[in-house]
Parts: sequence; C-alpha cells; structure tokens
Amino acid sequence: MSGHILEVEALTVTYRGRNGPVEAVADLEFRLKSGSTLGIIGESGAGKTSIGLALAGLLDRKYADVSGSARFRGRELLDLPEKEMAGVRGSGIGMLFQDPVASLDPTMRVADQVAESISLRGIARGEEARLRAFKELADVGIDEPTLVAAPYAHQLSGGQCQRVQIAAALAGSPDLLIADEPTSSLDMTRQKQVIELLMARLRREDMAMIFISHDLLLVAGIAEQLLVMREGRAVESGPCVRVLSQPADSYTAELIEAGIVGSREGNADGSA
Amino acid sequence: MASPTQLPAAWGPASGPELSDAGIWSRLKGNGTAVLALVLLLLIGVTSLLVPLLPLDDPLETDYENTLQAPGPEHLLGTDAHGRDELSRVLWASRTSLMVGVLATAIALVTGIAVGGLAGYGGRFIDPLLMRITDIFLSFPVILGAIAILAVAGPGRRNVFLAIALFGWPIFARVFRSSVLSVRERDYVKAARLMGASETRIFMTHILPNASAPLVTYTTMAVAAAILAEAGLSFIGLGVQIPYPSWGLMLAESMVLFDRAPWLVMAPGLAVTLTALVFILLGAVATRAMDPRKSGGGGSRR
Repeated sequence: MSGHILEVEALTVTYRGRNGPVEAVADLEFRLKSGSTLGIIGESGAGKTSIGLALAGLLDRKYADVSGSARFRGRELLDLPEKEMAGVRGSGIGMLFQDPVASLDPTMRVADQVAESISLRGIARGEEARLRAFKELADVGIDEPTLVAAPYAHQLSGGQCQRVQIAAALAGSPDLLIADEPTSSLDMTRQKQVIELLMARLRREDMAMIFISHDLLLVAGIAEQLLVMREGRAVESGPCVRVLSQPADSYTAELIEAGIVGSREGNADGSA
Repeated sequence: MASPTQLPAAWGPASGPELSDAGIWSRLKGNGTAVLALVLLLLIGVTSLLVPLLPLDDPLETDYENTLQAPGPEHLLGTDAHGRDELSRVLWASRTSLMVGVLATAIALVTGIAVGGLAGYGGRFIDPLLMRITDIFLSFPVILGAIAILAVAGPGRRNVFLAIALFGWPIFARVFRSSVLSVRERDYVKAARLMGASETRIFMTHILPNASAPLVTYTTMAVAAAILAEAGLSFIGLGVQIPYPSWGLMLAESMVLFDRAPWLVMAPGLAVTLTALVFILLGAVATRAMDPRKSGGGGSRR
C-alpha cells in the first residue's frame, strides 16, 4: 500500500439543477496519509460540503452525479454498491456535521444514539453497548448527572451536543473522520474545547481527518495539509506552513489577509 | 473517572422512542383545555365500555303504553315513539359511534402510514405512482365516497366503517409523506446511515418517530370526522339499521317529533356534538403536549 488512506482523483460532483447541471466540485485531487489532517478551506458555496458528502456516499444520486475516483484503503468508494458502502462507513469513516443539535435525533435519548452507533458498528450489543456508550460519553466530558438531567438533545447546549456527536462518530474508532465545519455554530470557548477534544482523540487513535471550514486561522492550527477551494476548484494545495507563508494563488493571499485583519479587529469568531 | 459496574440511572428501563415520557404529563398540568378534554374522553370511553353492565333498560324493548314520555325519574331522558328508554339508546349508540370512529381511523392511519412512508422513502418511481392514486381518492369527499360504496355494498355498520376508512387514508398518506420527505434529509438520518444502519432500521428508529408527530392531530380530527360521518350516514339510512340505536338514526327518527318531544332530538344531537368536540380538542392538546421542545422542565439550558 502507498501509505495513503485516501486517494482522490478527478473528483467531480454535479447537481442536476432546474436550469441545467451545476458543477459543485470540479476535478479535485488530493491524498491523505493515515493519521494526518487535511484542511479544506473556502467560502460558502465553494463546494466543501459536497466533497465530504460525496466521499461518505451520502449524496442522493437522484440529484447529484459523482465521477472520478476516491480510493479508501485502496478500495474504490464511488462506485461501491450501497450495501458494501454501508459496511465501509460503519467501520472506516465517521462524519461530524455542522449543526450539532440537528445531527441528533430529537425523539431518542442521546445516550441511546451513542449506543446505537456502537451496536451498528458491531463493537458490542445490547446492555454492553449501553455501558460502552456511557464510557464514550464520559470520555468526551458528558457525565452521568448530565445524562440524567438532560437525556435529550434539545436539553443540551450546542457544545454538549457536539461532544455527543463526537462520541457517536468516534465510537467505532474509524480510520477517517470527515468534519464538516464542526465548530462554526459554537462560540469561541466551546470551539476551542471541541477542537482540543477532537485533536486529542485523533492523536490517541491515529485517525486521519478531513477538516472542512471557512475559518483559515482555525484550520491553520490543526491541519498539516491545506486545500483551498474556490467555486468548486482547488486553487491551491500543499503543506499548511508553505501555503500560509508563500501562497501561490492570489485568492489564498486574500484569504490570509482577510483572516489576519479579521483577528486584529477582534472578530475572528468564524461567523463572518 | 468512575468505571460503572451497573447501568447508570440515565438509562432507565430499555424502551422505544420516548413519547410516553413523564414530561408529557407535566406539560399537560395547568392546561385547562387539556384536562377538560381528557376527563371528557375518559368519561365517554369508560361509559361506553361499561354500558352492558349498567342498570339500563333494554334499548330495543318497546312499551306502547308509555310512548313519548318526558324526562323524569322513571326514564331519565324520557322515551321515544316506541316507548324505548332514550338514555339506554343514547348510551348504547355511543358504542357504535366510538367503534366506527376509532376502527375506521385506525385502518385509515395504518394504510396512510404505509402508503405515505413507501412514497416518501421509496424512490422516484413509486412516489408519483402512489401519490396519483392518493389524489384520486382525495378528490372524493369522504361522505360522498362512502355513500357510493354503501349504495353498492349495502348499508350496515361494518360497511360504514370500511367505507369511511377507504376514503379516510389519503390525508394520512399525504401528510406522512411530506413529513418523511423532510425528516429523511435531516443530519441525524445521514449520521445513522454513516454508522452503517440499514434503510429499514433508519426508517423504523429515526424516521417513523420523528415524522409521525403531525399525524397525531390529524388522527384525532379523523376520529371526530368519522363519528360525524357515521351519524350522517345513519341519518340518511345507509348506516345502522332500525331497530338498533345510532345517534344519526335516532335523530332521523325523532326529527318529525321535535314539537312534541324535543328531548329525543337533543339527547343524540348533544351526544354526537360533544363526542366530536372532545376529539377535536384532544388534537389541539396532543399537538402541544407531544412537542418536546416546548418542555419547561428536565434541566433545559436554553
């Protein structure tokens, strides 16, 4: 094997719009080493989320065409039948969504959802899965009193919901985590806590991560590789340090400039 | 970090999606309408269940010596043109009304969930097909469709509730389908799919509980509508047949006697109005009570 957990080539996502096809992602190429982090940066509508959904096989093929190649652990993901894809997702790929509250089922106790994740990934069943879920939740800082007082997602804060989501997504120790703006709905303090929690888990379990965000400074702090997207295309990619110090593309330079100015004015909270 | 040797209290007993949560009751308290609706429903339900055990006259026994008696100690609601005890007939008729209302709605609900779920979750070929069939049924007013069916199949209690169910399911199918379409795009459904959950499992554990909330209101409304439809069909002679008691039939029989015995019109008339009203009230109450986001208690931090 090449040492790359994920190899993406010529990935193109096209949505079938009412007024003809809309290209959300065009001809994307990147590789991800196991245990490393890739940051995907770009403004809204740049196609960042489509990449994550395409890789996880979550795009509805009724409305979207996906072409190109994405090999996960040497296995082609994009033309995998739904049944096999379910197996790959369950054991190999985890995903964090942008809105932590919406990513949890409002009619199911959050602990049950973590237990569901554990039993679906075949780690443990029944009571044992529940016990494990309790440990996983304690591990992300959601303790028993919290679960007794607030068993449902709407009773938890956004930050707590994001922790629950992390517990559910990482319960099976996936090799790859796709995090789609996991902190942009949180305030600065919570954002920092969640990032620290995430990074600790990544290091401990040698997990690779694709971190999608519009916040360049945030990504700069955690990613080794950087991919800058604009209008569905990668305008620049490379090691994070190189891209930040010597941007080859004028758009990247603009983003860096905007990020620095933003932080100087004290509103780099990522909500801009 | 303490390692637990037994399940923490947070788990409670293993059970399905929690709507039977104690939270619902706490939300109902202090809501006058809710308490009224529930008390009335309980009263109507228990009474109609206990009718065979109550010390009532035989609702079919005629007594031509004592016809059209006014309400009094002998007959609390008087007697009808054949000397039958009106109270007994009104109470026995409640069994017919509730049974037709609840059974017809149950059949319509299950059919509607099946059709709507299949359409909303099934895919691009089955959805338009099922929805066009739904549209065809939806284009008949329930009462008109039921009259057509009864004209062909013949009158009677069983045919009445089958006819009401046959034209009652499309609204459930429509509502449930649109609800499924919205719920299936939620992030938690994607998350479940990411965990490797099968489509059946996703549907049963995540989509069904989340998509069925709007059905509650429609269900109670449908019970009210079915009770009214049964009364209407019996009134025009297509439902329950003489001599058996039904509110609609009793109204039809006593209408011409309104001058001489107004209680014979008022008793079944009030009974059907009150029963329908209770179910409509219940719909409004249930909609509010079932929404967990309106909860005040439970350690909410928002």
